[in-house]
Amino acid sequence: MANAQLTGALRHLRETHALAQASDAHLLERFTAGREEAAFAALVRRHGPMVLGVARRVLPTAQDAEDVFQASFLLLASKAASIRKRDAVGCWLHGVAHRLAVRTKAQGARRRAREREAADMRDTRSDSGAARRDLQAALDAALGELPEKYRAALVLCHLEGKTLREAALVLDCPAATVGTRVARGRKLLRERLTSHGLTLSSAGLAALLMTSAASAAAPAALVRSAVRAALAFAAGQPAAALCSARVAGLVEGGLRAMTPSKLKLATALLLMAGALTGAAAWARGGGAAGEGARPRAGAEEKKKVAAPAGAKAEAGDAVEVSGQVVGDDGKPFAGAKLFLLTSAVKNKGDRTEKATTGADGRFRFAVSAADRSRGARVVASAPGHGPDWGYLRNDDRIGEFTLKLVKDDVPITGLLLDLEGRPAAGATVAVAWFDQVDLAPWLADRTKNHLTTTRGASPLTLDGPASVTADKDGRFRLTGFGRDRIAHLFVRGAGLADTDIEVLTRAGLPGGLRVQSRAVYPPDLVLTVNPSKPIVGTVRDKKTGKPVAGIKVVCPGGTWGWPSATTDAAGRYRIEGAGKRKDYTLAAGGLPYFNSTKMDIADTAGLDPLAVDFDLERGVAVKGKVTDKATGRPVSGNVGYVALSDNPHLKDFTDLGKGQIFAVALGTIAADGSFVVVCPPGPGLLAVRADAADRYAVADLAGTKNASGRILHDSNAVVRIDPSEDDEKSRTRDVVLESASGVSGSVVGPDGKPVAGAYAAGLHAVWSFGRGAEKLETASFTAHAVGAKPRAVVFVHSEKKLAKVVKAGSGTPLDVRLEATGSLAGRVVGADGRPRAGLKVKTSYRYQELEAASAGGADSPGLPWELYFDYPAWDKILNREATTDKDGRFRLDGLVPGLKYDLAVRDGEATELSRESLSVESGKANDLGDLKAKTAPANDREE
Amino acid sequence: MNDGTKSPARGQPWAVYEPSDAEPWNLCRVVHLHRRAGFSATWRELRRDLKDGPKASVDRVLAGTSRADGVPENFAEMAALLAESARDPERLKAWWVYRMLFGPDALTERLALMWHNHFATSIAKVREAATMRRQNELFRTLGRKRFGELLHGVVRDPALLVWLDAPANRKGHPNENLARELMELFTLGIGNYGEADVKESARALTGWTVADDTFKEDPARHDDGDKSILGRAGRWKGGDLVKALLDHPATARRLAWRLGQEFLGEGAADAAGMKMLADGLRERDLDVGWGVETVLRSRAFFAETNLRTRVSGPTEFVVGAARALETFDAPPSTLVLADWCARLGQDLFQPPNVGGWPGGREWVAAPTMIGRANFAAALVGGRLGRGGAALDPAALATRHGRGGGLGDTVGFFDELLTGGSGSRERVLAALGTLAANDPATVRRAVVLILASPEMQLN
Repeated sequence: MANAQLTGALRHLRETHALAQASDAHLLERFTAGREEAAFAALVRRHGPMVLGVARRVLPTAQDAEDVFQASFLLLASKAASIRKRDAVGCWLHGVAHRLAVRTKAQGARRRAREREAADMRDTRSDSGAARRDLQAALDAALGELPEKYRAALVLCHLEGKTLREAALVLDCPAATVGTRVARGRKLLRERLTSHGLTLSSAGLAALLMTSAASAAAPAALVRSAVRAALAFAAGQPAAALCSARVAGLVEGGLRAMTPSKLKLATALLLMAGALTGAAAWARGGGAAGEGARPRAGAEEKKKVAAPAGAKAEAGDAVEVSGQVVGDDGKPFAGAKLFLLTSAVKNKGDRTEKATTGADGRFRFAVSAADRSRGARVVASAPGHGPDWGYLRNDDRIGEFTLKLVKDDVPITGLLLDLEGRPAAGATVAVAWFDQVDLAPWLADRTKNHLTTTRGASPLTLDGPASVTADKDGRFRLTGFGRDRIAHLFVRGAGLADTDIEVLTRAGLPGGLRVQSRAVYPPDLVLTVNPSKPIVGTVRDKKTGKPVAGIKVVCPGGTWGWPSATTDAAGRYRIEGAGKRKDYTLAAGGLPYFNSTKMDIADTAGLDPLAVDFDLERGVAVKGKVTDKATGRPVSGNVGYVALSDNPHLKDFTDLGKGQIFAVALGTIAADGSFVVVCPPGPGLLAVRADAADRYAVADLAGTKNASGRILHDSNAVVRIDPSEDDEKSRTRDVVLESASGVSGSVVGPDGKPVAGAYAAGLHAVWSFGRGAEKLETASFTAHAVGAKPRAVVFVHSEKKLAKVVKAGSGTPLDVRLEATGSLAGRVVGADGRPRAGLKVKTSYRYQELEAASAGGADSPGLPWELYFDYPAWDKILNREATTDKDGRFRLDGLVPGLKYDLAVRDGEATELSRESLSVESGKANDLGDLKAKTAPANDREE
Repeated sequence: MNDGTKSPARGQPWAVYEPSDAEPWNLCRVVHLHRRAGFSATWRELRRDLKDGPKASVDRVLAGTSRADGVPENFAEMAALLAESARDPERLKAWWVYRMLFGPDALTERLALMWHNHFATSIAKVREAATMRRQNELFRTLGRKRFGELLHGVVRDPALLVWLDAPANRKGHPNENLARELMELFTLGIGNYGEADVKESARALTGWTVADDTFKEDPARHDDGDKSILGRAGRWKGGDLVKALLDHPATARRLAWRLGQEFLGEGAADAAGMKMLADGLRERDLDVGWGVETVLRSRAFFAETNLRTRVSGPTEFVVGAARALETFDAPPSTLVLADWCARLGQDLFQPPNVGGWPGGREWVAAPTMIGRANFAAALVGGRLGRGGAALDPAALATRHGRGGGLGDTVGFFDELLTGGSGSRERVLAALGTLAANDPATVRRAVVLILASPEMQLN
């Protein structure tokens, strides 16, 4: 008996082993034929990590990702019999998982967009990781668009970590072929990514693919439940009976509006999928690895584009702001007070009254350049009225303000209760912010129109208190918003889950208001609040095991402000305010420790505290000050860290390479110019970027050979550090930024007349994420931060077919006389010499030298960096495409003399021929003569 | 329902129970009534019913006026507020637990739970909390009407239709889910119809769908052809099918079985008794209210052999413990109670499948029994609610004039919770001879009683 059992167990072991080795096709067949659980489990184990990885990259919450995971395998189970390429299950799953994830995400996108907007309002920097994750999500999207053979090769080799030989076995072709497909696939992928608006060097792509690879196995419980559900599903049970509502919804396709997600993105979402590749660890704005791409900072930059020459107000000057305050009736409002709010104003006491309106309602006052650079807002307020406000642009277009005060006759009077109906006495209700809102379209048809907000303002705008406490009956009252506005309130109290609500200050609207999936409360609201689940634990140093004080632990999700706590002297923390959920995510960090994130922590029964301990890896805190060389004054901006690949300590830091939610945001330069970042000991780089990047010289990249990344090119200074715990001096690094002046110039046509509307690349010495291709509205321009060494600037006017590449150097103004563009022409013939009609001919301007320079950490080889980093934008402006006519002829006009082009001729996916490094002359056609294609015309090939 | 047991109720099981020397109206029977037909009762309610006798007690249970304690004045308003704000599954469950714990009408909530089990529908597929809540309200409003009213309502309920894929059932593409469950689970029961009947019934139900979250009969999707169902040919429509099923004798039998499963213990009524109940229902056009009243007043219900012969379901157990211990001033979180129901096997609004929870002995398993003990400890320890102060059951006993010594205190809780099952001695032995009548010891005693085997039976 015992013997028989043993034999059975051994057989089971052997079979499991055999299954792990079996091909996807074999496993699928066993599953479809015999509903064999082990076969399906082997598939889940094999591809699960990749599927989870794809989902996690697209979706911010673990729960969502797991739902997609489940749904993907349910679909695999139901479609098992109909999958054509049975050996490319990974490839199939990648596509399915990505589609499902995108759908799940789309649902929450609107809500999140609004949340992000509000986050922008309060915090203009300190984001960075989201960009990297977006990058990885874009990678998945681009992968989805590739032809299957390339996709399969890439998924296997890069996302599932197979060697070429293993991949060859799966795909049933020679390893060399897999290698070719991987290479070609990567090239295609890069092209796709550029068309998505992302330019990556091949090194960057490789690094990205590497970080996208599934690093850990999918959680065992997840695998088990996926297998169980899939089997039952394949056997005909409805998905709903087997898995969560979300998964069933995904599986059945009809994603309707669902209950509001329990997890919202929080104020400053610092979710970074960190990357620690062989080449570099990046950090900016966060405490550890993660590339410093900053979409928000980029957007900010866009607004701050220096005024074109001839503008009324140069940055640096004070400007006069004027306007009129009117009342509800549109008539001038006398006696309204005007304030200026900037990012420096933290309390209501800091507000300075700037003016009071006279009988005509008008006002006028001066705003300093310093205030303008701090996001100045003009606020009008008067007793008994809700305020109005407007943003001051940081450019010449200041214009005139008309501010309208509305009656404040709809107070918010709320009642807070727990789910058992008891008053939440003592709970605080704080105004997070409030919005102006356009009610008219929504009131006209609430089923069709969304309630859209027009402008948001911080609670500092309010005259009244921005935070109140509920009385013993749970009642509270807030005023000062004015009619028809949406107040975003944050409720917190002992034993209660932190809760965000939106309240519309309009009386008499029927109950049950909804905006998308959210409830909007009437001004006389009753709110029922969920109980809170405390989270407790101890934070220790991973190496010494000693408790660490002063570490911040956050529990993301649920609300704007994440519930958080800081460890005491014994390393203990206790977080209040997290609602009871199915699972939790927690992150801990603080100087000089690297951030650590724990996901998928299962809920425990009742409201007993959930215990979660952390062991943090200790890094080195590098501090310094950033100042302006000329004035000695602090410079605002941020500092990132880039590890050098020869740093021997990198291997000691396991938390570095992981996806992280940052508990503490580091790297932002404080008002006094000071900054602090956490890095591993050993050689690395600090990359400093000023908010006013154009005013300073670009970083000198000499000596950055062992690092790469765009962060180096969007910096004003890159300095080497070699910090160590024992040497305090090595942990301090001040950075002095040298201001650099720009030159102004104008663009004229061949006839000498000014030409407006040209695109220009190279006007900025420092590259900026998200700037794209810059179009000159007028004929004037400024080339910023030009140095002694002249820099190439490319001007091109597509419609007028004019262009010019010039060198901008310091000193003299720059006058650019555009010239006629050039052309490439030729005839494509088949192998047999007969013309090939209908082929696509496309140029790609050459950026390879820039790419190589970036990867090697070198200076630009004489072309603007934008042409490489913003390829998708410039591709549309600089490249041309044509189709060969019946005689096989083509002609590509509008090409820029001074640039080099590669030419590719394609028949569908197949490249028929290519030419490299072609150039054109102004006003001339460079005739390439007959170009021989690899194949003959299609009608001949069919024989 | 087991033929082999001896029951004094045999012969006339549905005759009205009259107290006798052999089967007196005692505390045990009062507790029995409230545990079977509600979610336990407070000491004051028990004493009142003991004094007033079975008729008045059952009258109050039926009228929904039995609860004298813990029903807030603004219950209806608060319940409506919680209903409206229940937009996710957890809040929806909490809302229902709020109704069970604080509402005046325990029997109606028990019947809603019974119908939820009978027409088991899961939010896992339906997804919308509001849709599930509307179905739940249907169980509440129609739960004691004629079964026909309820059935006609439920088969047109959007949650049920989505759950059973009715929208996918259309002419030429029949989906048999609704037809099958309608016959197998909701009315006839297995063995009273054939596979062909299911197929033809599915055709009759084509065109029943959901649009804008309401029931819709779409003639364009309806298969108008001839069908033969249960031996009768015709151009059946969905409504005809429901009527025919209501007329079928097997439906009355299934209904009687369902009432028995909810209110009677193992072996409380034999086959003949169940047939009598079914016949009675049939004669009264399947009047559920009559059936419920008949059972709750009956000799079979109060028979010695029906006492402590049914395994208490997780929700009855969880809500009942909180009620009997009068946790009204600092109540446990309803959301947490719902979570405990789920942990003990009964995830409200999320039954395991269309067959519902099997119930009975299926509730008994090592993890769930350990779970019940853990729940008891957490409840008594005050760890289930906001504020988190431990309960003071010693004070509760004193308040009710008991608690003169540990023996009396333990006896009080044995009576309150189990009707005096005799667990008192065992608990006292477990506490040890040196145990004092202090709050901590009394808390331990209450946990021991709640975790005792007797407590798991009602």
